[in-house]
Amino acid sequence: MLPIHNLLIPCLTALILSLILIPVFRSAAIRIGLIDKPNHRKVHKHPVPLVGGITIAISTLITLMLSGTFPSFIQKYLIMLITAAVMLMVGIIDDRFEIKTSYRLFIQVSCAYAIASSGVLITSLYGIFGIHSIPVPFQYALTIVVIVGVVNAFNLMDGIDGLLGFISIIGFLTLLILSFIAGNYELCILFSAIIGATIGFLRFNLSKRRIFLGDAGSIFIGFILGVSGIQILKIVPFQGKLDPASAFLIIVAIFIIPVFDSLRVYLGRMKVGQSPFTADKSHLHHLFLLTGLNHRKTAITISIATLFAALLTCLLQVFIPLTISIILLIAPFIFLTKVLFINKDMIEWKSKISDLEDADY
Amino acid sequence: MTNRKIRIALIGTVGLPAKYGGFETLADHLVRNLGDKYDMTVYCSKKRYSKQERSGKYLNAKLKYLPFNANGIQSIPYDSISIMHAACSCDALLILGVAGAWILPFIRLFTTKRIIISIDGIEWKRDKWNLLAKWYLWWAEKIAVRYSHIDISDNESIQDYTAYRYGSLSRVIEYGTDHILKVSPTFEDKKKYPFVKHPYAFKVCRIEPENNVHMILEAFEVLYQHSLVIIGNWENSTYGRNLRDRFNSRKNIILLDPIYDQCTLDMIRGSAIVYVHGHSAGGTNPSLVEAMYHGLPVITYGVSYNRTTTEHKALYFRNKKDIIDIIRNVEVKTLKEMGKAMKEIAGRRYTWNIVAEKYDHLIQKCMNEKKKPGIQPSLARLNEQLLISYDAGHLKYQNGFFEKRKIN
Repeated sequence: MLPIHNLLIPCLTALILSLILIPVFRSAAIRIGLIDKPNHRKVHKHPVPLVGGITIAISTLITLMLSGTFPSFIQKYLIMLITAAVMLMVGIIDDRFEIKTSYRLFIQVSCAYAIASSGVLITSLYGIFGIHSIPVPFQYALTIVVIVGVVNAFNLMDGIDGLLGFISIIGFLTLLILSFIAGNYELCILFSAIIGATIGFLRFNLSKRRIFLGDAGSIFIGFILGVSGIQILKIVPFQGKLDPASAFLIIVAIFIIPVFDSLRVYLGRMKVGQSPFTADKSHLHHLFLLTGLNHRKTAITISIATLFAALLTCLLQVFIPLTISIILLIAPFIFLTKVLFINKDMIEWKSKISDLEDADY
Repeated sequence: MTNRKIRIALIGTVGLPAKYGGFETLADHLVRNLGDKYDMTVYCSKKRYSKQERSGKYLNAKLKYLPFNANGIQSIPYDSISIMHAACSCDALLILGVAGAWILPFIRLFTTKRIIISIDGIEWKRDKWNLLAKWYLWWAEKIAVRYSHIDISDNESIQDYTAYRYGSLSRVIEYGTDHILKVSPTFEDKKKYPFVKHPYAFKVCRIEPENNVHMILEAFEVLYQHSLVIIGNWENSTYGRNLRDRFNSRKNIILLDPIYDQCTLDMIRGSAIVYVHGHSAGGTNPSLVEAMYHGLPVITYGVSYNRTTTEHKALYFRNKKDIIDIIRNVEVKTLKEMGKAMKEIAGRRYTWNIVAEKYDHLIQKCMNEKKKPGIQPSLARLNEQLLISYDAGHLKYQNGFFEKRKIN
């Protein structure tokens, strides 16, 4: 087993790097116009620099380069690095100049295809609905859909300060533990570095000198999380310490809230005849805000829910078959969403009724 | 061979004999007026009636007792168990309040019993409930309207709301008021309540912010030459206690604790020269219609429900300034005429005979009704081109009766 304290070093390195780099990038961003201007839909009121993604990426990269495992890292995960860099770059351009949705989607699919071609594929469904291994074309299709789906889900989740930061830390921590059990040194360092960089980011995101992740950041994080999740599944059989199906379940658990929320949002928009990419105010954090919770409490509530899902699956996977576990995870989410929608309806009707009540005849 | 009488269950009230509030008075009069025609069972709360009081019978009606409170969170099991029991032993269920609404889909699915439910104002909007309670009431109201054969509102403005939200027609049945007494103050009364010797404005209500008690008190603080008497449960809340501390010392403002004796209450109410009503929440308010039956002119908060109750013939206020303007400028002649108008309305609409007759009619109707009427004619479901070809295109998109045209 690897010594645990070795993992703290990349974390701290990345943390210190991001704390140094952020102020630098922040002022640069303001000068070149890489800022997020508020509109009626967004929850912030003043323009904020969009440098979170860049700093996390660069801090992580530098930490990796300093770590000594960089050569072997490049050997194994070159494609992941390159595609992540591409995604980051596209994200930065999108933040500054607004790329058309179809171009963004195309690039995301291409990067996902590159990853799939390099051998990082979802090869089996581990027993959901009784399906185990799947034919190769389906593997490609499923992998691409999952990666693109996760990337966009995380992009949508980035609506409140700290929300994506907390969730990605929880996600990477889970992956860190899994790769630790699997004995994969390189990935451990990667995740540890990202966690450190994200903590540095959060220190600014939640403070007065705010910065945002931007599309660059949310896409980058979503991409690395998604691809890493699939990577880890490939490290079979976890040196015999962990059942692959259980690992699958735990990884799925991290993504459930962002992915299902984004699916629900897409379906909701299509139901009223709009394109799934229209902007509106129906995400999970919007719904929570309507119950009267402030931004901080909403971010914490949703993060705790993700943490709870991850922990719950760790317990469940010992006792209950995979299909049922997944249903048990999804059911509370659906119930919660229903209740939040009842709340939203109620508030809209309250104002409609006020109009009825106060009408002067 | 005589037909068996239809068996009606009355669910959701505290119980009979009536000693609580509006619903209970309603139950009392229904039993009085319809107890011969129908075989009635009323479900009561064991917690409100001591062992001696539980006689099991009231006039012609049977009484059944449940070990729950009829109000608050216990109203959910209280109503639900009553409904389940009634579904086995009665033909039609008359339910007051939506606490037990969750069980109605099952009753519709598994039995052929008829359900009439009174939705009691727009409960989920009221600030007295916490967020969880509001969610439940919001959802329960929807289930109640969808799964009942007939739903009843106590005000036409609430009928507007249900038409708007659910697209179905609520029936409107208000309250009766002719149980109140016309009482002149005796010598004893004048000694105990010296203010009855002079003109005063009157109000009786629960002391809650949504009844705008503070607004009225602040107005009369300015109108120091006019007397105001308010009867209410001041000690029950911080809001009430604060108001009492703040305004009790004013010479023209008299704040009394609740008076349960109907005779005394009617004496004080009847001797006033004007009734001030501040309710802003939904429905026809019993205290308002009772004041109307007294023949009192009414100055009321200008929300749609109060306007509908008084048929737009009273004086309406929105804020403290309005109250002050009205009281300063109104003439005695106007007040007298308004009083007569109010009495006329109450006599025409708010008597127990009429209310009981309406319920009777509804019970007969629900025994046969297949589907709840919508608010659009079924013609509107026809294809638009077809309607146009018959020069009837305007029937496709009609305004609902609840859509008021703004007159600018």
